[in-house]
Amino acid sequence: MITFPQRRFVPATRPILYAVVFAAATLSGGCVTSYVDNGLQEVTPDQMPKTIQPQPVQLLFEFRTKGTLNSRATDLLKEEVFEITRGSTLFSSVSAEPASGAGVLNLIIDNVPITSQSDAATKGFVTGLTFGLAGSAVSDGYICTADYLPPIGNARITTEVRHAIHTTVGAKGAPPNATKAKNMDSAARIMTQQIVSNALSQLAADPAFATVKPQQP
Amino acid sequence: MRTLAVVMLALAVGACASGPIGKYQPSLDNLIVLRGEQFGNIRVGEVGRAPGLAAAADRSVSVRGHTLSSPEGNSFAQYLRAAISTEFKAAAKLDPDSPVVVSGELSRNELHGAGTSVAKAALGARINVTRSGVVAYDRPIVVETEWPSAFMGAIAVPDAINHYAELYRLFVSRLLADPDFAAATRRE
Repeated sequence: MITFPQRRFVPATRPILYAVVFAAATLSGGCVTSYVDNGLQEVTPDQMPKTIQPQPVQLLFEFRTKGTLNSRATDLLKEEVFEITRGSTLFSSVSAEPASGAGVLNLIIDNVPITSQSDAATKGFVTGLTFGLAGSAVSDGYICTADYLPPIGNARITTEVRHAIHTTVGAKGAPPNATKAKNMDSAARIMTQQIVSNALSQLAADPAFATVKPQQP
Repeated sequence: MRTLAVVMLALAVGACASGPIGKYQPSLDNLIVLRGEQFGNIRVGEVGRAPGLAAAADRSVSVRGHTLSSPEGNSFAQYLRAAISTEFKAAAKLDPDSPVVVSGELSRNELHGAGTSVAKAALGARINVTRSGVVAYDRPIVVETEWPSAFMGAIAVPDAINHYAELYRLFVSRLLADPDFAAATRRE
């Protein structure tokens, strides 16, 4: 039995990779390197669209793997997502608990495998990946969906952002248009920062979000 | 040859994934349903193990040699309790002073992930609601799920963990979809 640390980020295609790594390491030796796609960059708080009257928000977050809730990965990234949302300055307060006059923000990151260049295109990913690299390479797609329910009214605002992490095993070259991460955990956290900040930025840019009114006492 | 056998065994068994599943997370869909006027405020009472359920089945489930436990008191009955509490709390309908008490008994807790083509899981509990001590609802709820499995444990085991944990959310959704349950929680 192979034993891996339990509190590590394991993406959808990663178990296959681990198996490949095990085989590669056993038979010939090799290393695993993660790259964050350059197609999406972080939106910093000063680049975020300004809201005239920030409202409190109740934040729900979940990480999914191929559409299924992944509660362990959710636990790992939850605090990070809360910090990114707090740092966005879009809301007067951010809490997991319901609060008077608060809207609800539901953030979902779904990890979907990308099996080929055509698969990436079909799923709407614009990645810098070149398939068929020397050595073995796998790509994980990430789709972040942000749903916002304002404090009053039922007009849901939805935005969606896509990102990718590419992982090579014993590759002789790095994927083009991607930045090497220290390790898989680091890649996951960089991806989270970039994809969530972009989802929040798109949300804030929606005219319906800009006109959200505070709840009357 | 011996090396190849070790590699094949590792691929089939997969990475060690024993340990607790993640904490229960509320869902937007359940929150929207619970915000409706058809639900009143509740408090959550005891959720224990039904007499017919083995203690071991409350403590853990396993898939391909990997043991999964609950992060709530090492009991999946307690995890179900946390699931109900978490959803009502997220919708601001959990009230420690409410005369409406939701309780339950876990009666089924199954994970069948050995199959290489299909895996299954099931969760069942009897849920009852009392209003000032008078029974207003008492009904068994069972949810089952199945998903495509894989030969390689490295794929099958994480999939099984995710589908099993998601079953608790399905259970709460099924409970909330019962109009009699909603009526039992509603203020008269």
